[in-house]
This record gives sequence, C-alpha cells and structure tokens, in this order.
Amino acid sequence: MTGPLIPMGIIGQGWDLVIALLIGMAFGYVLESAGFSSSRKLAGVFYGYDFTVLRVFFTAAITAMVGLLYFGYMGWIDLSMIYVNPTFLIAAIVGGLIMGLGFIAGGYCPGTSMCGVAIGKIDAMVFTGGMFVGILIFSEAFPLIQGIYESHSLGPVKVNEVLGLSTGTFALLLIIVALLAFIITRIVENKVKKVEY
Amino acid sequence: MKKAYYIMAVFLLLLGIGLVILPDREHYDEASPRELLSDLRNPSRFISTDKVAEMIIDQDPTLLLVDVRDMYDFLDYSLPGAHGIPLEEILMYNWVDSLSYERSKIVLFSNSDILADQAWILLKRENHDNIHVMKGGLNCWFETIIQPSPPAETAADEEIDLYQFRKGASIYFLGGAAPVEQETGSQTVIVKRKNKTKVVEGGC
Repeated sequence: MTGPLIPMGIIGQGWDLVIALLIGMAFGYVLESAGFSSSRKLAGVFYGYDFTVLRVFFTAAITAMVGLLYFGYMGWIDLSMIYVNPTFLIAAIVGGLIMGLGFIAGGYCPGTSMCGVAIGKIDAMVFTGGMFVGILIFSEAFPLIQGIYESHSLGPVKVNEVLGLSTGTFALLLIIVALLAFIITRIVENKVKKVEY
Repeated sequence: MKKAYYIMAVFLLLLGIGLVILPDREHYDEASPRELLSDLRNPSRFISTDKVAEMIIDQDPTLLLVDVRDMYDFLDYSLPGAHGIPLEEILMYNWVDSLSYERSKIVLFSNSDILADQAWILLKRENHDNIHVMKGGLNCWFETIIQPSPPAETAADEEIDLYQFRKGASIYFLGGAAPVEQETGSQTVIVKRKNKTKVVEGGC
C-alpha cells in the first residue's frame, strides 16, 4: 500500500470531505487545548512576549517535512502525487500583507478565530464577521483584481527547486533555521517583560 | 531550557543530516526490465479461447474479462460479461483494484493478440499479477468457439471431444437450440405371446 491514500484510490474520493472534517475537528481541538484561541497569545508573536505560535507551527512544519521525506524514501508514499499549491507571486505578497495586517489588528488567523468563536469569544466573532465581509468584497471585486490575482504565475514550484538545492539539503537548512528561531525567540521572550493574560 | 528540548533538537538535526547523506532512491512499483523480459518469454500468460469459453459457461466468479479495443468495437460486439477499457485508458484509473479481487484472473483480449499483449505489458510494468491474454483474440474466438471446424474422421478422441465441446459452446453463445437426432422411420413392435402352458390336473 502506497500513499497518498485518496489519489492512489485506496480510500474512495467521496471520503475526502469526511476525512477533512475529522482532521479539522482534531486540529481545532489541539488549537484550543494549546491556548491558541486567545488573541493575546497570537498577538504575542508581533509584540515579542510570546512566540509559542511560531514554535508550534514551525515544529509542525519540520516534523511533517521530515516525516514525508522519510516516508518517500521508504517507498510508503509517492511524493510526486502530493498536491503542491501553485505560486502566484504578486498575489502571494499582496495577500500576505493583507493577512498579516488582519492578523496583527484582530489577533487571530482564520483557523484560530473559528476556535475562538466555538468557545464564545466576542472578539473572535467580530473578527470572523470581518473575515466574511472581506470574502464578500474579494468575490465582488474579483473582476477588478483578477490581473493581480493571476500575474506572475510560477506554477507548483518548490523552494529547493528555485534555489537549486537537493530536497535533503534544503530540509537540513530549514531544520537549522527552525532550531535557531527556537533559541532566539526564547532569548527574546526572556528579555521582554512578561504579559499576563 | 529543559533537557528534553535539547534531545529533540539533536534528534531533528540527525534526521536532517540523514536526509542529506542518504542517496537518492527511486521507487519503482513496476516490474524491473529483467523480470518483464522473463515474463514475456513465458507463454503462460496466454489462455486459450476454449478455457475462456469454459470459464464463461461455468460462470467462474474469478474471471474478469477486459476488452481493450476501442469503445465502438466493444459496443459492437464483445464477450459476455466483458468490461470495455480501451488500451489508451488502461492506466488512467485504478480499475484493476476496483474491478478485480485478490484471486481474480484478469483476461485481456482484442481482435488479435497485439493490443491485448500491449495492455498486458503496461499492466505488468505496474506490477499487477494474474493478468492473462486470450490467445488469438476474438478472431480465434470466432474460428474455434463460434464456428468450429470439424476434425478429420481419423482424428484422435481428444480432438473429437474438443470439437463436441466447441459445438456445445457455440450453441451456448449463439443462443440456439441443441440439435436433437431425428428418428428415421417408425419401427413396428412385434408382440410375442407366450404359449399357455398346460396346467397339470389332479395329483398331488
């Protein structure tokens, strides 16, 4: 049996939404358990008093990366079958800026705002309302911004391919960057005044 | 910082170094060229039209017939119960796993051996087992099963038996009635009466 399970036909296509729902519920549970439904904890990344979010997501990313690469090496998963999001350079930069602005202003990202709504946080509800307004504006204004949205399409590129590095070398570099980030953020946290929340 | 964090960091670093050191490894689920050559030389991939006919008549549940000709030909004529999967689409979806069971005998056929053999090679490269080709294809099917030619009078018993089977199979597939031997002329029934034997009178 070789993964990925749905593209390989091991699990039927009809199950993908069911599996997505189950994973989403587990993700929400973990986010809430880790305290990520608090906008103060999330905003702490920008103000420098709490880098837990950065450490958690970076750990998740490198764990998934190392796991997938070793699974691929062992022949348990066909990495060429994994969907890679196509890159639209300008749209990614503009979208990243808007997302970052919303993140720092509201104190949530889309996933954590849903967690906040689930436990009845009013700021999360306002944030989610704003998110839906944003989606509506984006949809209605799409013909105007379609040019930006589709410009500089690079296709499903990977960073290591752009840099001309092998997958293993890039993975090692990313692990080193992650470990350095963990150490530096810990030092910054110790120097910045603790915020109680 | 906790000791566990250091251990985890070292562990991650070692895993990262492992990814750099490990050589690139290509995974072929397909059969290797050497295995493929050996299988190609082996005629056991062929299955005779007689065997296929027998399995169809017996309604063998392990038989999975696959017509690899184009859809027009398939819709025009095909074997009973066959699935039409044209050669161009043979690798498009995972039909082998969805249609067959673990012990299924997949039999590919086309008009002759050529298309079916090409499909066999493609599936063999994907490492599927129990794939067979109907020897001679539908042309041979017509010659042997639908319109079998009678053997010579001096033919061996096996050949005559085979011909009888083919004739029967032909009737089965064409939906005709079995020929019944007609009686020639009526026979007169001769009733023989037994002579009455004399009963012995008196005495004891």
